[in-house]
Amino acid sequence: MSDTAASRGLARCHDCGLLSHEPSLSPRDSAHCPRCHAVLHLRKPSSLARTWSLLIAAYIMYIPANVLPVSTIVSFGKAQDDTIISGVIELFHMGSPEVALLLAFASIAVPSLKLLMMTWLVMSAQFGWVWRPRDRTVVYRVVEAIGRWSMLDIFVISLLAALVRLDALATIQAGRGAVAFCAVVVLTMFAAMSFDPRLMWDHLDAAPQHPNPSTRTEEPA
Amino acid sequence: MGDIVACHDCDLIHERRPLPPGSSARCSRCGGVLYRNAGEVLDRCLALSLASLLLLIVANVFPFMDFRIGGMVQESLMSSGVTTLHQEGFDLLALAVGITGILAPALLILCMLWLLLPLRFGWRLPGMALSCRWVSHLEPWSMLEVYLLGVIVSFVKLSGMADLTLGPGSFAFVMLIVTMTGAVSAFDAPQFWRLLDRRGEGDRA
Repeated sequence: MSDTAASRGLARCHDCGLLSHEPSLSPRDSAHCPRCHAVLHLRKPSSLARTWSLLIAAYIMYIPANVLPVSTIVSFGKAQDDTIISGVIELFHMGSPEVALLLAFASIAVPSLKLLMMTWLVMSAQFGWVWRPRDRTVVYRVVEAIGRWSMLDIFVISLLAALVRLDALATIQAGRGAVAFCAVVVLTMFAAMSFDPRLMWDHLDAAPQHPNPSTRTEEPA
Repeated sequence: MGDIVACHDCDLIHERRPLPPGSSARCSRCGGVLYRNAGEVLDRCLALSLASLLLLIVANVFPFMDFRIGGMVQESLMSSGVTTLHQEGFDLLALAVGITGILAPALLILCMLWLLLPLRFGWRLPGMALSCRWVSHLEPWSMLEVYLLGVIVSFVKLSGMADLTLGPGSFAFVMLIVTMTGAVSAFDAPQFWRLLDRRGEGDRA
């Protein structure tokens, strides 16, 4: 059995890091951190259930996000709708392949990878996989870190809409797809926040004889 | 309980040991950062937070970007995106941009100041512990660097179409990102919690 805080009956405060004795595991009781008053939990409450529901909601919103237009350009009476993908293609044709690549990464690659990776991580915790927990933890950290960059397209749309407001000459408006896309970004961020990576490690102790990772102590960085 | 820490990502217990300045201790099982020796960061964090507050105000009040085409000019502020989206009826988008681009950074700076100013001068104000907790909640939602990249992308997208000029607000904005990134990386929460503890009760029930 690994020497975890939970195995000693200690809860780590998610706000200030202090370890305190968790008096009971009942979801009804709420113990508070003696230092900062945050509610104490051994693990994030209903982590798997919340993460699953947020991911499913994000998958549902992913469809209108890519199918509906995210922006509409109106110039000289002619209106042009753009979805995320058509916007990227447009940038390629316009002669800005670097920016097109950047938007393709931030608006297509990152959200899809986040969805897929988070699904994979939640499954690994749900079904108690023992495959390479350290690498899975690294994947979790990466997912947490890159999530915010998907907001790029939303900021671009808001700036374009604010700048290009010259009535008949040229106008750029946001589209309903942008709302759905924003929802995907926010939902996947919440999903990553609600996921407790410690659940992936808890299963190692419960699993039958499995060689433990090396317990050598790391030198300070 | 002060001599042991638990890994944030895998819950493994480690003994706290002294570290050389500038280094951090990592979990032996999953590699996550356990704690670090950041040195005396209170002054640096406070100074950068104050600078950020001033820059945030300047960045939002002064003109941000101008869009000129065929003799017509459209001026904008940092908040113009939010107001335009709201006018077009996209209230949820306006909220998202408003929070991640303006509100969360502003609250983040204010919370850091509410904690660090009293801490620096030895005062005791109510809500210092709450502010310290809120800093960690607000950090993921302050997305100024993404906003900056958005400005660059918009610039590229529009430069073919028209004349774009950057106003003083945008320069303050770039400097704001520098100071805020510095303040957030200097914000050593464990150190500040220890200082709060030492200053006495006041925040405990």
